Amino acid sequence: MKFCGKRIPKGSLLLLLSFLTISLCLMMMLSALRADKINNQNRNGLYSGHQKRFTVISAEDEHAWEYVIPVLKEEYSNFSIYSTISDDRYIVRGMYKKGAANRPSMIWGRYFDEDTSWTDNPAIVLGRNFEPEISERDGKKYYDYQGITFEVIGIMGTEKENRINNMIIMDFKSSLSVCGINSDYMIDAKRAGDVEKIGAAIYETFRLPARVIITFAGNGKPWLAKILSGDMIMDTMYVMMFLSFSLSTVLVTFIWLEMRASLFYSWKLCGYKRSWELAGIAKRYYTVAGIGYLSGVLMMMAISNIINDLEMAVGDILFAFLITAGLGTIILLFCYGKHSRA
Amino acid sequence: MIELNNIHKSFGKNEARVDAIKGITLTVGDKEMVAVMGKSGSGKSTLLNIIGGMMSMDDGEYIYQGRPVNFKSQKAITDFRRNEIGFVVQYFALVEDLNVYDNVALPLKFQGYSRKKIKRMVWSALEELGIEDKVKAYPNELSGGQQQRVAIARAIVKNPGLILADEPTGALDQATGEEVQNIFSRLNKSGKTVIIVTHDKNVAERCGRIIYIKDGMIDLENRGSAAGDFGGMAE
Repeated sequence: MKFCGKRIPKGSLLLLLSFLTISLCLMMMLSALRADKINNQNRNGLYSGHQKRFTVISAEDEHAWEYVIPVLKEEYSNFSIYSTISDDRYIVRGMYKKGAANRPSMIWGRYFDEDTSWTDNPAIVLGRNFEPEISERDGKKYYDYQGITFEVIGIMGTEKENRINNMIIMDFKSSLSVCGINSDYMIDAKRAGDVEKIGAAIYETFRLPARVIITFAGNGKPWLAKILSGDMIMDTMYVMMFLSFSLSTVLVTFIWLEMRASLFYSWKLCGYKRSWELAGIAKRYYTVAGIGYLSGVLMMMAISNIINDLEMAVGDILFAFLITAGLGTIILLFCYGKHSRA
Repeated sequence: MIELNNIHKSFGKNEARVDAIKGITLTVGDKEMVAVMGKSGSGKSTLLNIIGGMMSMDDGEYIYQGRPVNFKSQKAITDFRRNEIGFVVQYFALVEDLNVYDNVALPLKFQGYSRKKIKRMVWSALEELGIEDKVKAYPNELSGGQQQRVAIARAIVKNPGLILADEPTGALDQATGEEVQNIFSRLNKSGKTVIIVTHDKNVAERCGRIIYIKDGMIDLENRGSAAGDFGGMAE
C-alpha cells in the first residue's frame, strides 16, 4: 500500500491502530475519571467518602483549635477539618486543609491551602452560582456573609448544575466566629485509615471541660464490598483495558519487528552499528506511533463532540502523550532487545 | 589481500555440535576472482560469512590487507564490514518498503555524507549497473535480474575492495544469471577482488580460481578455466 508516493511498511497499519487505541483509551479513561471525580464530589459534597463526623461540646475556650491544629499539622500531611454552618439556603462550611485533599474543579482562582485555610484574613471560595453577588474593590473580589467581609480567592463548580455550585467554603477561623467552637465538624483525609487516627488525636488534644464526641466503629465498608463497588469496578475495567491494549501492542511490535527482518539483514550487510540500527528503527517506530497517537487525539475530539459527558482537556492530551511515548519506548526497547537476541 | 590460517567454525554444543569449517587455510590475492563450490552444507557460505565479518570464527587467524581482523570487537567488525566489504546474496536482501534509490543509499546513511554526495554516489552506482531508470521503483516492481543489479549497486556504492557474493545467480534464470555474472567479471576487471559462492559451474568457469569445499575442508583447488575438473562434483 502506498501513501503520498511512499510505500507504507508492512505491519505499520496494525501498529498505528494499536497506538491509536492506546491513546484513545487513555484519553477516554482520563475523561471518565474526571467525570467520575466530579460526580463523586457532587454526591459527597466535596468529601472523599470516608469522612467522619464529630461534635465538640462544653468547650469554654473559643480558641481551642489554636492548640489542636498545630498538633495535627505536626503529625499528618493530607487531611481536612470542616466545620458545618447551618444555613437554610446553601451548604456552608469552614475548612482547614493540609496537603492534597478533595479539590473541586475551579472556574477561577485557587482553592484553599494550608496558609489560606488557617488565616486571620477572612477568605472564601464560592460556588459558581454566587458569582453575581461578588463585589470588586481595588482589583480584589469580596463577598459578605453573616456580617463578615471575605476576600474571594476562587470560584468553584462546573458548567453543569451540581451541589458544588451552591456551596460556600470559608477559612476555618472565620467559620468558628460564625458557628462557635461547640459545633459539628467533619474530618476527612486522603487515606481512610488516617481519619480515625486524626479523630483520636483531636479527642485526646482537646482540653477539659471540652468533650469530643466521635464514633469510630461501624462505618467502614467490608473490603469485598469496596472491591465490588461500582467505582472500583469501573476503575479496574479501565486499568484492565489499558493493560490489554498495552500487551497487544507488545505482540504487534514483535510482529512489526519481525516484518523488518529484511531491513535488519540489509543493515547488517551494510555494516550498521547497533546504535544506528536502534536510531533507524526508533525513527520508523515513533513515526508510526506518533501518527497513531495523533489519530487517537482526533478521534477523541470527534467522540467528545458527539458524547457531551466525555470532555477533553489539554492536560489529558499531554498526559496521554507522555504515557503513550513512555509506553512505546519501553515496548520498543523490550521487543528490540528480545528480537536482537533471537 | 586475504589470508585465512587454519580457520575453524562449529555450531551447536555437545552432541548437537556441527563442525562447519575444519581448519581451512586460504589465500586470496588482490584483484582475484574466486569461485567457492561445494555441496549444500559443505561450509562454503559459512566461509563467505567469516570472510565478510558476518560471522565470527572459533579458531584460526584471518588477515585482511596485512592486518588481523578483530572479531572480538563489535565496533571493529562492523567498521570492517562497512568499509571493506560489499555483500550480494541469493535473494537480494532488498528492503521492500524502500525504493531503489533508498536501498542503494542504505550503506551511505549515518556516514556524514552530504545529501548531494549521497545522490552522486548512488547515481554513479545505478548508472554502472544500468538501472538508473528504475530509481523510484520498489523491489517488487522489478524483475529478479533488476533486483540483483540493485543489490550489486548497493554492494559497490561505497567502492569496497572486496565483493562477496553468495549464490548471486541462484534465484535467476540462465540468461539473467549470465548478465549478472558479466557484471561481476566487469567489477573484477575494474580492480575489485570478487569471491563468489556458487553451485553453478558456468559461473565458476568464469572465475580465475575455483575452490571446492567438502565437509568443511578444501577438497580441491584449481587455477585458470578448469571448471571441467569440478563439473561432476558440483550439485
